[in-house]
Amino acid sequence: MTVRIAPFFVLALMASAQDRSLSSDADIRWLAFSKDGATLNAVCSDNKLRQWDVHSGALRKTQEFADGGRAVGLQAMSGLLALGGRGGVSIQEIATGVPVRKIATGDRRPNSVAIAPDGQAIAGSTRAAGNARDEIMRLWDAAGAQRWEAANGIGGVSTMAISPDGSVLVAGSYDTDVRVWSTRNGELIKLIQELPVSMFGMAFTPDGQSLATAGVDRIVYIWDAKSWKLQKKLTGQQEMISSIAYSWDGKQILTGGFNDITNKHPTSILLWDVASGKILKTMPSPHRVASVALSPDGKLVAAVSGDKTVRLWNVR
Amino acid sequence: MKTATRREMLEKCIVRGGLLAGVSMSDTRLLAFWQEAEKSARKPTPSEVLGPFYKKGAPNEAVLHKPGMPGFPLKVTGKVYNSRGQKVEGARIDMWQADHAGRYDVVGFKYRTKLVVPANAEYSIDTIMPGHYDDRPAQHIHYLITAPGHKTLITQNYFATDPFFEGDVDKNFRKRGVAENRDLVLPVTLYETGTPSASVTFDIIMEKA
Repeated sequence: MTVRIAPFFVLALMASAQDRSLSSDADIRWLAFSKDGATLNAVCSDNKLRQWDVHSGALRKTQEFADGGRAVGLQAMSGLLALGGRGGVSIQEIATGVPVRKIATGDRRPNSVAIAPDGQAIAGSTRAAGNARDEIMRLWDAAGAQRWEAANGIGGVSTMAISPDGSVLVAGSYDTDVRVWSTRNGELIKLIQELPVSMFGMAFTPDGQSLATAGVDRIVYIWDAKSWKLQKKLTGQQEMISSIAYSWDGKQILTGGFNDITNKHPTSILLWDVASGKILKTMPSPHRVASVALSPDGKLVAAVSGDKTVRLWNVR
Repeated sequence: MKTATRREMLEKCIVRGGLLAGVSMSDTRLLAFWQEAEKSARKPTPSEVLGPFYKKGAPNEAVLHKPGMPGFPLKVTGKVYNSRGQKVEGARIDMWQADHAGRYDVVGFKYRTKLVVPANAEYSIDTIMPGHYDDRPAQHIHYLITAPGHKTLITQNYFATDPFFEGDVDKNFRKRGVAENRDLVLPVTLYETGTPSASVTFDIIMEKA
């Protein structure tokens, strides 16, 4: 007799049960470890920042966002949070809650932004006026001066990031194109048009040499961040990829899934070895993964899935 | 009713392409031009969000519902005009939708087409009623329409028969922020003879670039 095992159960057996979890009173949108790895910061839907002690799991602090703003961007490696509020975007250090600066963006305040790692600039895309769905990308410096604006395709930004050295801004659009601009003068350095689908997440290696993007087609694309040529594709995720993060040494990638039926379907979180393209660990998620993070020492994976729980796995 | 001034009539006729700037014309002739332009003028199709599941490279295919595939057959037909009421030549209609279970094909091109609209500017697509899914719980079809000399139009259509609207589209079209514009909720014709099916007419009005 042949025993047939449904693929789901095979996946469930292979997947690793979470090692611990942390609970929040509100849904969690984004995660970021502190630079020393001792604290896990969570940006929550109730406009509060929750901070847990990673070692003990104790909730250390819950604080309101500065100026009553709402979260519009996160720079995980630098630990900076952008808050959209009246008159502009505030940048605050999430570890301490201390406002770093406020950038006045006038009445063109974007809904989502990319923050330079040093917090000295932000970029945001807004829809142009009229019936068309044209988008305009703008970049402001720390003094709130708009440095440049540029046409940004149609349909809106799906994901964006500024390189670790602050020199380039990359944005993926729902029209599936990816644009690379000089942050200094807005020069379009590269227009990547060969992607067939939208990218939902992107992350630079900490040294800025590579950019990983991933989205609807379940593939992780790794780009040379100087020539903007495709270096490598990682395949193996069974669902669309909704979030992505590099390890702090740039050698591993963490991806979170998004089932294409509904965000309530189970998905998975994968830890990849970039050099070999192998999947090192598969971790289950009950829903679409909203945010993933690796601790600075690479030992701990944290993920949130559109709910009030942070799931943690030891991966070394 | 407010009477248009000569200047307003001139401006509208020029903007809509019914008259060249600098041409002298009597008031009577200008009024006739203006009335003609008013009669044929059409409001551009409202735009809607592109959404996350647009995919490049769909084939030019008018029949998306193949024999044996599940789903309630639906025919979408219409014409592509510009806002002057003239047929648009050279239009391409990128259309994509969820299947009967509310699932987009993100690997292949099921229920996706990039249709070349014939020279008569009339199109017809055989598909199915899209299924419901949690994130956007009203049935809908996405469109991205391009044509030489015209602004790219990104839009969607919805269905007045959708239970989501609870039988009162006027009241419920904005429910849960799904549809942005009442005009995009289309009346549905149902056919009960033979294989039950449905049809909608979706005329597309593009703006000059």
